[in-house]
Amino acid sequence: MVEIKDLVFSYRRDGKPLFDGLSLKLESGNIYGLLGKNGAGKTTLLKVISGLLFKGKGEVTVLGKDPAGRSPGLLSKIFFLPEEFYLPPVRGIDYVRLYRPFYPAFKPELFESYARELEVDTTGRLGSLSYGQKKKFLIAFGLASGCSIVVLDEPTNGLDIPSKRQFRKLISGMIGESGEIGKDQIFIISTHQVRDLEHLIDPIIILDSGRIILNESLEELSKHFSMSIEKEEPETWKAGSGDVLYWEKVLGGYAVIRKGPSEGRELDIEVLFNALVSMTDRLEAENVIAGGAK
Amino acid sequence: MISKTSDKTGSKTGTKTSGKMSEILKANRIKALLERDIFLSTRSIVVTSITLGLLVIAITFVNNISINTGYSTLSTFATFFVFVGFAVTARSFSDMHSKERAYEWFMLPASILEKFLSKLLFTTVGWTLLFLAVYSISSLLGEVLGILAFGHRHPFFNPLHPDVWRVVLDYCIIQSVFLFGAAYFKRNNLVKTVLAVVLFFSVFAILLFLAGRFFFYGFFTDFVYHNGSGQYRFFFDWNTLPAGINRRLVDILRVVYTAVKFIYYALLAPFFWFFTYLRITGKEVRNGV
Repeated sequence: MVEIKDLVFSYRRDGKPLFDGLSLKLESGNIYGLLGKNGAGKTTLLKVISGLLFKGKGEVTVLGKDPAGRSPGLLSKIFFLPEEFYLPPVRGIDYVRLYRPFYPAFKPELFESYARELEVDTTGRLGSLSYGQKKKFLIAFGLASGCSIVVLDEPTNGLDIPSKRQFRKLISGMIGESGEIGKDQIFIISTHQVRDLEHLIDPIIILDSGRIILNESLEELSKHFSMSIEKEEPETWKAGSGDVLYWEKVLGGYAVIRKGPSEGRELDIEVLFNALVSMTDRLEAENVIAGGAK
Repeated sequence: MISKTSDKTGSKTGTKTSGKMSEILKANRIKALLERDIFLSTRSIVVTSITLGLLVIAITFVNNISINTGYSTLSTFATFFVFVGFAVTARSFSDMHSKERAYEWFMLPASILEKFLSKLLFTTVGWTLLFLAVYSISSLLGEVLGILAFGHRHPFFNPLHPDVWRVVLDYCIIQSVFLFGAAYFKRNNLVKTVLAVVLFFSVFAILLFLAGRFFFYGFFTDFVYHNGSGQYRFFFDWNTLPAGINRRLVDILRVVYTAVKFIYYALLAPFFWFFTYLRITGKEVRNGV
Protein backbone atom coordinates (compact mmCIF):
# COMPACT_ATOMS: atom_id res chain seq x y z
CA MET A 1 0.00 0.00 0.00
CA VAL A 2 2.85 2.37 0.84
CA GLU A 3 6.20 1.65 -0.73
CA ILE A 4 9.26 3.83 -0.57
CA LYS A 5 12.41 2.81 -2.41
CA ASP A 6 15.74 4.59 -2.08
CA LEU A 7 14.19 7.89 -1.13
CA VAL A 8 16.49 10.87 -1.18
CA PHE A 9 15.07 14.02 0.30
CA SER A 10 16.68 17.29 1.25
CA TYR A 11 15.17 20.57 2.37
CA ARG A 12 17.94 22.47 0.61
CA ARG A 13 19.34 21.75 -2.80
CA ASP A 14 22.95 21.80 -1.74
CA GLY A 15 22.38 20.65 1.80
CA LYS A 16 22.93 17.26 3.38
CA PRO A 17 19.93 15.06 2.60
CA LEU A 18 17.64 14.21 5.50
CA PHE A 19 16.83 10.90 3.83
CA ASP A 20 19.52 9.30 1.73
CA GLY A 21 18.34 6.01 0.29
CA LEU A 22 15.49 5.37 2.72
CA SER A 23 13.29 2.38 1.89
CA LEU A 24 10.11 1.36 3.65
CA LYS A 25 7.17 -0.90 2.93
CA LEU A 26 3.91 -0.58 4.81
CA GLU A 27 1.27 -3.28 4.49
CA SER A 28 -2.45 -2.82 4.94
CA GLY A 29 -4.30 -3.93 8.04
CA ASN A 30 -1.74 -2.47 10.46
CA ILE A 31 -1.41 0.40 12.88
CA TYR A 32 2.19 1.45 12.47
CA GLY A 33 3.86 3.37 15.24
CA LEU A 34 6.47 5.74 13.85
CA LEU A 35 8.97 6.56 16.58
CA GLY A 36 12.01 8.75 16.54
CA LYS A 37 13.82 11.51 18.33
CA ASN A 38 13.14 15.19 17.56
CA GLY A 39 14.47 16.03 14.13
CA ALA A 40 14.71 12.39 13.06
CA GLY A 41 12.47 13.12 10.08
CA LYS A 42 9.13 11.64 11.21
CA THR A 43 6.96 14.56 10.11
CA THR A 44 8.93 14.94 6.89
CA LEU A 45 8.39 11.26 6.09
CA LEU A 46 4.66 11.61 6.77
CA LYS A 47 4.54 14.66 4.52
CA VAL A 48 6.31 12.81 1.70
CA ILE A 49 3.80 9.96 2.02
CA SER A 50 0.93 12.47 1.97
CA GLY A 51 2.28 14.36 -1.07
CA LEU A 52 2.89 17.58 0.83
CA LEU A 53 6.63 17.31 0.16
CA PHE A 54 8.20 15.96 -3.01
CA LYS A 55 10.90 13.33 -3.16
CA GLY A 56 14.31 14.28 -4.49
CA LYS A 57 15.20 10.87 -5.88
CA GLY A 58 13.81 7.38 -5.47
CA GLU A 59 10.31 6.04 -5.68
CA VAL A 60 7.31 6.70 -3.48
CA THR A 61 4.04 4.94 -4.20
CA VAL A 62 0.92 5.13 -2.11
CA LEU A 63 -1.94 2.86 -3.19
CA GLY A 64 -0.04 2.44 -6.45
CA LYS A 65 0.23 6.16 -7.17
CA ASP A 66 2.84 8.84 -6.72
CA PRO A 67 1.51 11.06 -3.92
CA ALA A 68 3.27 14.10 -5.42
CA GLY A 69 0.68 13.92 -8.23
CA ARG A 70 -1.94 14.97 -5.65
CA SER A 71 -4.71 13.26 -7.56
CA PRO A 72 -8.18 13.64 -6.01
CA GLY A 73 -8.70 9.87 -6.09
CA LEU A 74 -5.63 9.34 -3.92
CA LEU A 75 -6.20 12.37 -1.69
CA SER A 76 -9.71 11.15 -0.90
CA LYS A 77 -8.11 8.00 0.53
CA ILE A 78 -5.51 9.75 2.69
CA PHE A 79 -6.42 11.51 5.91
CA PHE A 80 -3.55 13.49 7.39
CA LEU A 81 -3.76 15.09 10.82
CA PRO A 82 -0.60 17.10 11.54
CA GLU A 83 0.52 18.15 14.98
CA GLU A 84 -0.35 21.76 14.20
CA PHE A 85 -3.66 21.66 12.40
CA TYR A 86 -6.28 24.07 11.17
CA LEU A 87 -10.01 24.13 11.66
CA PRO A 88 -12.03 26.89 10.01
CA PRO A 89 -14.19 28.99 12.34
CA VAL A 90 -17.48 27.33 11.41
CA ARG A 91 -19.96 25.12 13.23
CA GLY A 92 -19.14 21.42 13.35
CA ILE A 93 -22.16 20.48 11.27
CA ASP A 94 -21.17 23.04 8.63
CA TYR A 95 -17.64 21.61 8.53
CA VAL A 96 -19.05 18.17 7.85
CA ARG A 97 -21.43 19.54 5.19
CA LEU A 98 -18.59 21.41 3.43
CA TYR A 99 -15.92 18.71 3.58
CA ARG A 100 -17.78 15.42 3.24
CA PRO A 101 -18.38 15.83 -0.54
CA PHE A 102 -14.62 15.40 -0.97
CA TYR A 103 -14.64 12.01 0.75
CA PRO A 104 -16.98 9.67 -1.14
CA ALA A 105 -16.64 6.98 1.53
CA PHE A 106 -17.50 9.31 4.41
CA LYS A 107 -20.07 7.83 6.81
CA PRO A 108 -22.03 10.47 8.78
CA GLU A 109 -23.39 7.91 11.22
CA LEU A 110 -19.84 6.76 12.01
CA PHE A 111 -18.76 10.37 12.49
CA GLU A 112 -21.59 10.95 14.97
CA SER A 113 -20.71 7.77 16.80
CA TYR A 114 -16.98 8.62 17.01
CA ALA A 115 -17.72 12.20 18.06
CA ARG A 116 -20.03 10.90 20.79
CA GLU A 117 -17.37 8.47 21.94
CA LEU A 118 -14.76 11.24 22.06
CA GLU A 119 -17.27 13.59 23.70
CA VAL A 120 -16.99 16.32 21.07
CA ASP A 121 -19.78 18.79 20.45
CA THR A 122 -20.42 18.82 16.69
CA THR A 123 -23.12 21.48 16.75
CA GLY A 124 -21.19 24.39 18.25
CA ARG A 125 -18.64 26.68 16.62
CA LEU A 126 -15.30 24.97 16.16
CA GLY A 127 -13.43 28.18 16.91
CA SER A 128 -14.67 28.13 20.50
CA LEU A 129 -13.39 24.58 21.15
CA SER A 130 -10.16 23.89 23.04
CA TYR A 131 -7.11 22.53 21.19
CA GLY A 132 -7.83 19.03 22.43
CA GLN A 133 -11.50 19.23 21.47
CA LYS A 134 -10.60 20.46 17.99
CA LYS A 135 -8.15 17.60 17.60
CA LYS A 136 -10.76 15.08 18.68
CA PHE A 137 -13.22 16.57 16.18
CA LEU A 138 -10.72 16.08 13.36
CA ILE A 139 -9.87 12.56 14.55
CA ALA A 140 -13.59 11.66 14.47
CA PHE A 141 -13.89 13.17 10.98
CA GLY A 142 -10.79 11.41 9.72
CA LEU A 143 -11.83 8.02 11.06
CA ALA A 144 -15.30 8.41 9.53
CA SER A 145 -13.88 9.52 6.16
CA GLY A 146 -13.28 5.91 5.15
CA CYS A 147 -9.73 6.77 4.08
CA SER A 148 -7.45 3.81 3.43
CA ILE A 149 -4.47 5.64 4.86
CA VAL A 150 -4.85 7.53 8.11
CA VAL A 151 -1.77 9.51 9.05
CA LEU A 152 -1.73 10.95 12.55
CA ASP A 153 1.21 13.08 13.67
CA GLU A 154 1.37 13.14 17.48
CA PRO A 155 -2.37 12.50 17.90
CA THR A 156 -2.29 12.38 21.70
CA ASN A 157 -0.37 15.64 22.14
CA GLY A 158 -2.65 18.17 23.77
CA LEU A 159 -5.24 15.59 24.79
CA ASP A 160 -6.11 15.30 28.46
CA ILE A 161 -5.87 11.94 30.23
CA PRO A 162 -9.51 10.90 29.66
CA SER A 163 -9.25 11.94 26.00
CA LYS A 164 -6.14 9.81 25.52
CA ARG A 165 -8.05 6.87 26.94
CA GLN A 166 -11.00 7.64 24.64
CA PHE A 167 -8.67 7.84 21.65
CA ARG A 168 -7.07 4.48 22.48
CA LYS A 169 -10.49 2.94 23.01
CA LEU A 170 -11.74 4.28 19.71
CA ILE A 171 -8.82 2.98 17.70
CA SER A 172 -8.90 -0.35 19.57
CA GLY A 173 -12.60 -0.58 18.73
CA MET A 174 -11.71 -0.38 15.07
CA ILE A 175 -9.55 -3.45 15.36
CA GLY A 176 -11.62 -6.36 14.13
CA GLU A 177 -12.07 -9.80 15.60
CA SER A 178 -9.14 -11.03 13.57
CA GLY A 179 -6.91 -8.54 15.35
CA GLU A 180 -6.58 -6.28 12.35
CA ILE A 181 -8.06 -2.96 11.37
CA GLY A 182 -9.95 -2.81 8.08
CA LYS A 183 -7.96 -4.99 5.70
CA ASP A 184 -7.69 -2.14 3.20
CA GLN A 185 -6.49 0.37 5.78
CA ILE A 186 -3.21 1.54 7.23
CA PHE A 187 -2.81 3.76 10.25
CA ILE A 188 0.51 5.53 10.58
CA ILE A 189 0.86 7.14 13.97
CA SER A 190 3.90 9.22 14.71
CA THR A 191 4.49 9.85 18.37
CA HIS A 192 6.86 10.74 21.16
CA GLN A 193 4.31 9.61 23.70
CA VAL A 194 4.91 5.87 23.35
CA ARG A 195 3.12 5.07 26.61
CA ASP A 196 -0.06 6.75 25.31
CA LEU A 197 -0.22 4.32 22.43
CA GLU A 198 1.19 1.14 23.91
CA HIS A 199 -0.90 -1.92 23.03
CA LEU A 200 -2.17 -0.01 20.02
CA ILE A 201 0.75 0.48 17.69
CA ASP A 202 2.16 -2.60 16.02
CA PRO A 203 4.44 -2.87 14.01
CA ILE A 204 6.98 -0.39 15.25
CA ILE A 205 9.05 1.77 12.90
CA ILE A 206 12.03 3.57 14.38
CA LEU A 207 13.47 6.44 12.42
CA ASP A 208 16.84 7.76 13.51
CA SER A 209 18.82 10.49 11.75
CA GLY A 210 16.87 9.96 8.55
CA ARG A 211 17.31 6.16 8.59
CA ILE A 212 14.80 3.42 9.31
CA ILE A 213 16.57 1.36 11.93
CA LEU A 214 13.62 -0.87 12.70
CA ASN A 215 10.37 -1.92 11.05
CA GLU A 216 9.10 -4.98 12.87
CA SER A 217 5.98 -6.32 14.51
CA LEU A 218 6.03 -6.69 18.29
CA GLU A 219 5.65 -10.44 17.81
CA GLU A 220 8.79 -10.53 15.72
CA LEU A 221 10.64 -8.28 18.15
CA SER A 222 9.74 -10.52 21.08
CA LYS A 223 11.53 -13.37 19.27
CA HIS A 224 14.75 -11.36 19.35
CA PHE A 225 14.53 -9.28 22.50
CA SER A 226 13.36 -9.88 26.03
CA MET A 227 12.80 -7.48 28.87
CA SER A 228 12.97 -7.86 32.59
CA ILE A 229 12.97 -5.71 35.68
CA GLU A 230 15.93 -6.60 37.87
CA LYS A 231 17.03 -5.47 41.29
CA GLU A 232 20.76 -5.65 40.59
CA GLU A 233 22.59 -3.43 38.15
CA PRO A 234 23.37 -5.63 35.13
CA GLU A 235 26.81 -5.98 33.68
CA THR A 236 27.45 -3.39 30.99
CA TRP A 237 27.07 -4.75 27.50
CA LYS A 238 30.19 -5.35 25.48
CA ALA A 239 30.22 -6.13 21.80
CA GLY A 240 30.32 -9.85 21.19
CA SER A 241 29.80 -10.90 24.79
CA GLY A 242 26.84 -11.41 27.12
CA ASP A 243 23.15 -11.15 26.38
CA VAL A 244 22.38 -7.81 28.05
CA LEU A 245 21.90 -5.23 25.33
CA TYR A 246 20.72 -2.29 27.34
CA TRP A 247 19.51 -1.29 30.74
CA GLU A 248 18.14 1.79 32.37
CA LYS A 249 17.23 2.67 35.91
CA VAL A 250 13.52 2.58 36.61
CA LEU A 251 11.39 2.70 39.74
CA GLY A 252 12.12 -0.45 41.72
CA GLY A 253 15.22 -1.57 39.87
CA TYR A 254 16.59 -1.79 36.35
CA ALA A 255 14.72 -2.34 33.07
CA VAL A 256 16.95 -4.71 31.11
CA ILE A 257 16.74 -5.59 27.43
CA ARG A 258 18.41 -8.87 26.52
CA LYS A 259 19.12 -10.67 23.31
CA GLY A 260 16.95 -13.72 22.87
CA PRO A 261 13.25 -14.57 22.80
CA SER A 262 10.87 -12.97 25.23
CA GLU A 263 9.31 -15.26 27.78
CA GLY A 264 6.41 -13.92 29.70
CA ARG A 265 7.02 -10.21 30.19
CA GLU A 266 5.90 -7.92 27.37
CA LEU A 267 8.43 -5.61 25.76
CA ASP A 268 8.26 -2.03 26.94
CA ILE A 269 8.35 -0.04 23.69
CA GLU A 270 9.86 3.02 25.32
CA VAL A 271 12.75 1.06 26.84
CA LEU A 272 13.23 -0.84 23.59
CA PHE A 273 13.24 2.45 21.68
CA ASN A 274 15.86 3.89 24.04
CA ALA A 275 17.93 0.74 23.61
CA LEU A 276 17.82 0.74 19.84
CA VAL A 277 18.40 4.45 19.39
CA SER A 278 21.24 4.73 21.88
CA MET A 279 23.11 1.71 20.53
CA THR A 280 22.26 1.73 16.86
CA ASP A 281 25.83 1.40 15.60
CA ARG A 282 26.77 -1.34 18.04
CA LEU A 283 23.57 -3.30 17.42
CA GLU A 284 24.13 -3.03 13.68
CA ALA A 285 27.67 -4.28 14.11
CA GLU A 286 26.34 -7.26 16.05
CA ASN A 287 23.64 -7.81 13.38
CA VAL A 288 21.01 -7.46 16.08
CA ILE A 289 19.17 -4.93 13.94
CA ALA A 290 19.35 -4.29 10.23
CA GLY A 291 21.70 -1.50 9.27
CA GLY A 292 20.55 1.54 7.35
CA ALA A 293 17.35 1.69 5.39
CA LYS A 294 15.11 -1.29 5.64
CA MET B 1 -14.50 -1.86 12.82
CA ILE B 2 -14.15 0.40 9.84
CA SER B 3 -16.34 -0.56 6.94
CA LYS B 4 -14.58 -1.42 3.75
CA THR B 5 -15.07 1.14 1.06
CA SER B 6 -14.76 1.34 -2.66
CA ASP B 7 -13.61 4.17 -4.88
CA LYS B 8 -16.61 6.22 -5.87
CA THR B 9 -14.68 9.02 -7.51
CA GLY B 10 -15.59 7.82 -10.95
CA SER B 11 -12.38 6.10 -11.93
CA LYS B 12 -14.15 2.76 -12.20
CA THR B 13 -16.80 3.93 -14.64
CA GLY B 14 -16.55 4.82 -18.28
CA THR B 15 -13.51 4.57 -20.46
CA LYS B 16 -9.93 4.93 -19.28
CA THR B 17 -9.82 8.44 -20.71
CA SER B 18 -12.96 9.60 -18.95
CA GLY B 19 -11.66 7.99 -15.76
CA LYS B 20 -8.41 9.93 -16.10
CA MET B 21 -10.34 13.08 -16.94
CA SER B 22 -12.49 12.74 -13.83
CA GLU B 23 -9.26 12.55 -11.82
CA ILE B 24 -8.27 15.97 -13.14
CA LEU B 25 -11.56 17.77 -13.64
CA LYS B 26 -14.95 17.09 -12.15
CA ALA B 27 -17.75 19.66 -11.89
CA ASN B 28 -18.93 18.28 -8.52
CA ARG B 29 -15.56 18.89 -6.93
CA ILE B 30 -15.30 22.45 -8.32
CA LYS B 31 -18.80 23.06 -6.93
CA ALA B 32 -17.74 21.68 -3.54
CA LEU B 33 -14.61 23.88 -3.56
CA LEU B 34 -16.65 26.97 -4.44
CA GLU B 35 -19.22 26.20 -1.76
CA ARG B 36 -16.41 25.85 0.77
CA ASP B 37 -14.72 29.09 -0.36
CA ILE B 38 -17.97 31.06 -0.37
CA PHE B 39 -19.07 29.74 3.02
CA LEU B 40 -15.71 30.40 4.65
CA SER B 41 -15.63 33.92 3.13
CA THR B 42 -19.23 34.82 3.99
CA ARG B 43 -18.24 37.39 6.59
CA SER B 44 -15.72 39.10 4.27
CA ILE B 45 -18.23 39.06 1.42
CA VAL B 46 -20.94 40.69 3.57
CA VAL B 47 -18.59 43.32 5.06
CA THR B 48 -17.10 44.19 1.64
CA SER B 49 -20.56 44.39 0.04
CA ILE B 50 -21.98 46.67 2.74
CA THR B 51 -18.90 48.94 2.73
CA LEU B 52 -18.86 49.25 -1.05
CA GLY B 53 -22.63 49.69 -1.19
CA LEU B 54 -22.55 52.56 1.32
CA LEU B 55 -19.62 54.19 -0.49
CA VAL B 56 -21.40 54.01 -3.85
CA ILE B 57 -24.62 55.40 -2.34
CA ALA B 58 -22.65 58.30 -0.80
CA ILE B 59 -20.71 59.06 -3.99
CA THR B 60 -23.82 58.90 -6.20
CA PHE B 61 -25.80 61.06 -3.78
CA VAL B 62 -23.08 63.70 -3.40
CA ASN B 63 -22.63 63.93 -7.16
CA ASN B 64 -26.33 64.74 -7.51
CA ILE B 65 -25.80 68.09 -5.76
CA SER B 66 -25.07 69.46 -9.19
CA ILE B 67 -25.93 67.74 -12.41
CA ASN B 68 -22.88 69.29 -14.12
CA THR B 69 -20.09 67.67 -12.09
CA GLY B 70 -19.01 65.50 -15.00
CA TYR B 71 -19.85 62.47 -12.85
CA SER B 72 -19.78 59.18 -14.72
CA THR B 73 -21.44 56.20 -13.12
CA LEU B 74 -19.46 53.90 -15.43
CA SER B 75 -16.15 55.39 -14.23
CA THR B 76 -17.16 54.91 -10.59
CA PHE B 77 -18.23 51.36 -11.35
CA ALA B 78 -14.97 50.62 -13.21
CA THR B 79 -12.78 52.12 -10.48
CA PHE B 80 -14.31 50.13 -7.62
CA PHE B 81 -14.81 46.97 -9.66
CA VAL B 82 -11.25 46.81 -10.94
CA PHE B 83 -9.27 47.93 -7.90
CA VAL B 84 -11.26 46.08 -5.24
CA GLY B 85 -11.34 43.07 -7.58
CA PHE B 86 -7.53 43.10 -7.76
CA ALA B 87 -7.33 43.31 -3.97
CA VAL B 88 -9.71 40.35 -3.62
CA THR B 89 -7.76 38.39 -6.23
CA ALA B 90 -4.45 39.07 -4.50
CA ARG B 91 -5.67 37.09 -1.48
CA SER B 92 -6.80 34.08 -3.53
CA PHE B 93 -4.08 31.70 -2.44
CA SER B 94 -3.63 32.82 1.15
CA ASP B 95 -4.49 29.25 2.27
CA MET B 96 -1.63 27.89 0.21
CA HIS B 97 0.91 30.28 1.76
CA SER B 98 -0.32 29.92 5.33
CA LYS B 99 1.78 27.81 7.68
CA GLU B 100 -1.33 26.58 9.50
CA ARG B 101 -3.70 26.13 6.56
CA ALA B 102 -1.50 24.98 3.67
CA TYR B 103 -1.62 21.28 4.53
CA GLU B 104 -5.42 21.40 4.72
CA TRP B 105 -5.74 23.09 1.31
CA PHE B 106 -3.35 20.70 -0.42
CA MET B 107 -4.82 17.61 1.24
CA LEU B 108 -8.34 18.56 0.15
CA PRO B 109 -9.27 15.84 -2.36
CA ALA B 110 -9.47 17.93 -5.52
CA SER B 111 -6.98 18.30 -8.35
CA ILE B 112 -4.70 21.33 -8.60
CA LEU B 113 -6.57 22.30 -11.79
CA GLU B 114 -9.88 22.24 -9.89
CA LYS B 115 -8.43 24.27 -7.04
CA PHE B 116 -7.05 26.80 -9.54
CA LEU B 117 -10.34 26.99 -11.47
CA SER B 118 -12.37 27.45 -8.32
CA LYS B 119 -10.22 30.44 -7.35
CA LEU B 120 -10.40 31.83 -10.88
CA LEU B 121 -14.20 31.49 -10.99
CA PHE B 122 -14.53 32.96 -7.51
CA THR B 123 -12.52 36.08 -8.40
CA THR B 124 -13.89 36.61 -11.92
CA VAL B 125 -17.46 35.34 -12.32
CA GLY B 126 -18.23 35.45 -8.59
CA TRP B 127 -16.79 38.93 -8.07
CA THR B 128 -18.45 40.30 -11.24
CA LEU B 129 -21.91 39.03 -10.27
CA LEU B 130 -21.55 40.21 -6.68
CA PHE B 131 -20.27 43.66 -7.57
CA LEU B 132 -22.79 44.19 -10.38
CA ALA B 133 -25.58 43.40 -7.92
CA VAL B 134 -24.14 45.61 -5.17
CA TYR B 135 -23.38 48.50 -7.54
CA SER B 136 -26.73 48.34 -9.38
CA ILE B 137 -28.71 48.45 -6.15
CA SER B 138 -26.60 51.02 -4.33
CA SER B 139 -26.24 53.41 -7.28
CA LEU B 140 -30.02 53.19 -7.78
CA LEU B 141 -30.52 54.05 -4.11
CA GLY B 142 -28.06 56.95 -4.45
CA GLU B 143 -29.92 58.32 -7.46
CA VAL B 144 -33.31 57.95 -5.73
CA LEU B 145 -31.94 59.82 -2.70
CA GLY B 146 -30.57 62.44 -5.14
CA ILE B 147 -34.02 62.94 -6.68
CA LEU B 148 -35.60 63.24 -3.24
CA ALA B 149 -32.99 65.71 -2.00
CA PHE B 150 -32.11 67.76 -5.10
CA GLY B 151 -34.85 66.98 -7.58
CA HIS B 152 -32.56 65.66 -10.27
CA ARG B 153 -30.42 62.63 -11.05
CA HIS B 154 -27.83 61.19 -13.42
CA PRO B 155 -28.77 58.44 -15.86
CA PHE B 156 -29.31 55.15 -14.01
CA PHE B 157 -26.55 52.58 -14.10
CA ASN B 158 -27.33 49.89 -16.63
CA PRO B 159 -25.52 46.62 -15.83
CA LEU B 160 -26.28 45.31 -19.31
CA HIS B 161 -24.63 48.23 -21.13
CA PRO B 162 -21.83 47.02 -23.49
CA ASP B 163 -19.32 49.43 -21.85
CA VAL B 164 -19.86 47.69 -18.52
CA TRP B 165 -19.00 44.34 -20.06
CA ARG B 166 -15.96 45.85 -21.78
CA VAL B 167 -14.71 46.82 -18.32
CA VAL B 168 -15.48 43.30 -17.09
CA LEU B 169 -13.52 41.82 -20.00
CA ASP B 170 -10.51 44.07 -19.33
CA TYR B 171 -10.70 43.21 -15.63
CA CYS B 172 -10.71 39.47 -16.36
CA ILE B 173 -7.61 39.85 -18.54
CA ILE B 174 -5.55 42.05 -16.22
CA GLN B 175 -6.78 40.15 -13.16
CA SER B 176 -4.80 37.13 -14.37
CA VAL B 177 -1.61 39.04 -13.50
CA PHE B 178 -2.85 39.53 -9.93
CA LEU B 179 -3.90 35.89 -9.70
CA PHE B 180 -0.34 34.94 -10.62
CA GLY B 181 0.96 37.40 -8.02
CA ALA B 182 -1.34 35.77 -5.45
CA ALA B 183 0.20 32.38 -6.18
CA TYR B 184 3.78 33.61 -6.55
CA PHE B 185 4.21 35.95 -3.58
CA LYS B 186 3.78 34.69 -0.04
CA ARG B 187 2.93 37.99 1.62
CA ASN B 188 1.77 41.48 0.59
CA ASN B 189 0.67 40.01 -2.74
CA LEU B 190 -1.19 43.11 -3.95
CA VAL B 191 1.64 45.58 -3.30
CA LYS B 192 4.28 43.24 -4.68
CA THR B 193 2.27 42.53 -7.83
CA VAL B 194 1.68 46.24 -8.45
CA LEU B 195 5.40 46.91 -7.92
CA ALA B 196 6.34 44.08 -10.29
CA VAL B 197 3.97 45.41 -12.98
CA VAL B 198 5.23 48.98 -12.56
CA LEU B 199 8.83 47.76 -12.69
CA PHE B 200 8.16 45.67 -15.78
CA PHE B 201 6.48 48.52 -17.66
CA SER B 202 9.15 51.01 -16.57
CA VAL B 203 11.91 48.79 -17.93
CA PHE B 204 9.85 48.07 -21.04
CA ALA B 205 9.17 51.79 -21.62
CA ILE B 206 12.84 52.70 -21.14
CA LEU B 207 13.94 49.99 -23.56
CA LEU B 208 11.30 51.06 -26.08
CA PHE B 209 12.39 54.67 -25.76
CA LEU B 210 16.05 53.76 -26.20
CA ALA B 211 15.22 51.61 -29.22
CA GLY B 212 13.19 54.46 -30.69
CA ARG B 213 16.02 56.90 -30.13
CA PHE B 214 18.50 54.46 -31.63
CA PHE B 215 16.55 53.59 -34.79
CA PHE B 216 14.93 56.97 -35.39
CA TYR B 217 17.64 59.19 -33.97
CA GLY B 218 17.73 61.56 -36.88
CA PHE B 219 14.00 62.14 -36.90
CA PHE B 220 13.66 63.42 -33.34
CA THR B 221 14.03 67.08 -34.09
CA ASP B 222 13.73 68.54 -30.64
CA PHE B 223 12.85 67.99 -27.00
CA VAL B 224 11.28 71.19 -25.81
CA TYR B 225 8.73 72.71 -23.51
CA HIS B 226 5.44 72.95 -25.36
CA ASN B 227 3.58 76.11 -24.48
CA GLY B 228 0.24 74.80 -25.64
CA SER B 229 0.13 71.63 -23.52
CA GLY B 230 2.44 72.77 -20.74
CA GLN B 231 4.48 69.57 -21.09
CA TYR B 232 7.88 68.57 -22.38
CA ARG B 233 7.48 66.88 -25.73
CA PHE B 234 9.50 65.20 -28.39
CA PHE B 235 9.02 66.61 -31.81
CA PHE B 236 8.99 63.93 -34.39
CA ASP B 237 9.07 65.51 -37.81
CA TRP B 238 7.28 63.24 -40.25
CA ASN B 239 8.30 65.55 -43.07
CA THR B 240 11.96 64.74 -42.59
CA LEU B 241 11.31 61.03 -43.25
CA PRO B 242 12.48 59.83 -46.66
CA ALA B 243 9.72 59.38 -49.21
CA GLY B 244 7.76 56.15 -48.73
CA ILE B 245 9.07 55.52 -45.20
CA ASN B 246 6.18 57.50 -43.81
CA ARG B 247 3.58 55.10 -45.18
CA ARG B 248 5.66 52.02 -44.37
CA LEU B 249 5.99 53.14 -40.79
CA VAL B 250 2.24 53.52 -40.51
CA ASP B 251 1.85 49.97 -41.85
CA ILE B 252 4.38 48.66 -39.35
CA LEU B 253 2.62 50.44 -36.51
CA ARG B 254 -0.67 48.95 -37.65
CA VAL B 255 0.83 45.43 -37.52
CA VAL B 256 2.35 46.14 -34.11
CA TYR B 257 -1.01 47.41 -32.86
CA THR B 258 -2.80 44.26 -34.12
CA ALA B 259 -0.14 42.05 -32.53
CA VAL B 260 -0.36 43.86 -29.21
CA LYS B 261 -4.16 43.60 -29.32
CA PHE B 262 -3.92 39.88 -30.05
CA ILE B 263 -1.44 39.35 -27.24
CA TYR B 264 -3.65 41.30 -24.83
CA TYR B 265 -6.98 39.67 -25.67
CA ALA B 266 -5.89 36.13 -26.56
CA LEU B 267 -2.59 35.38 -24.86
CA LEU B 268 -2.06 37.48 -21.74
CA ALA B 269 -4.64 35.82 -19.45
CA PRO B 270 -3.92 32.20 -20.55
CA PHE B 271 -0.18 32.90 -20.12
CA PHE B 272 -0.60 33.99 -16.50
CA TRP B 273 -3.20 31.29 -15.77
CA PHE B 274 -0.76 28.66 -16.98
CA PHE B 275 2.08 29.95 -14.81
CA THR B 276 -0.25 30.31 -11.82
CA TYR B 277 -1.22 26.67 -12.27
CA LEU B 278 2.45 25.64 -12.52
CA ARG B 279 3.28 27.60 -9.40
CA ILE B 280 0.58 25.81 -7.38
CA THR B 281 1.56 22.42 -8.77
CA GLY B 282 5.17 22.86 -7.67
CA LYS B 283 4.40 24.24 -4.23
CA GLU B 284 5.35 22.12 -1.21
CA VAL B 285 4.32 22.48 2.41
CA ARG B 286 7.68 23.17 4.04
CA ASN B 287 6.54 25.39 6.89
CA GLY B 288 9.50 27.66 6.49
CA VAL B 289 12.10 24.86 6.52
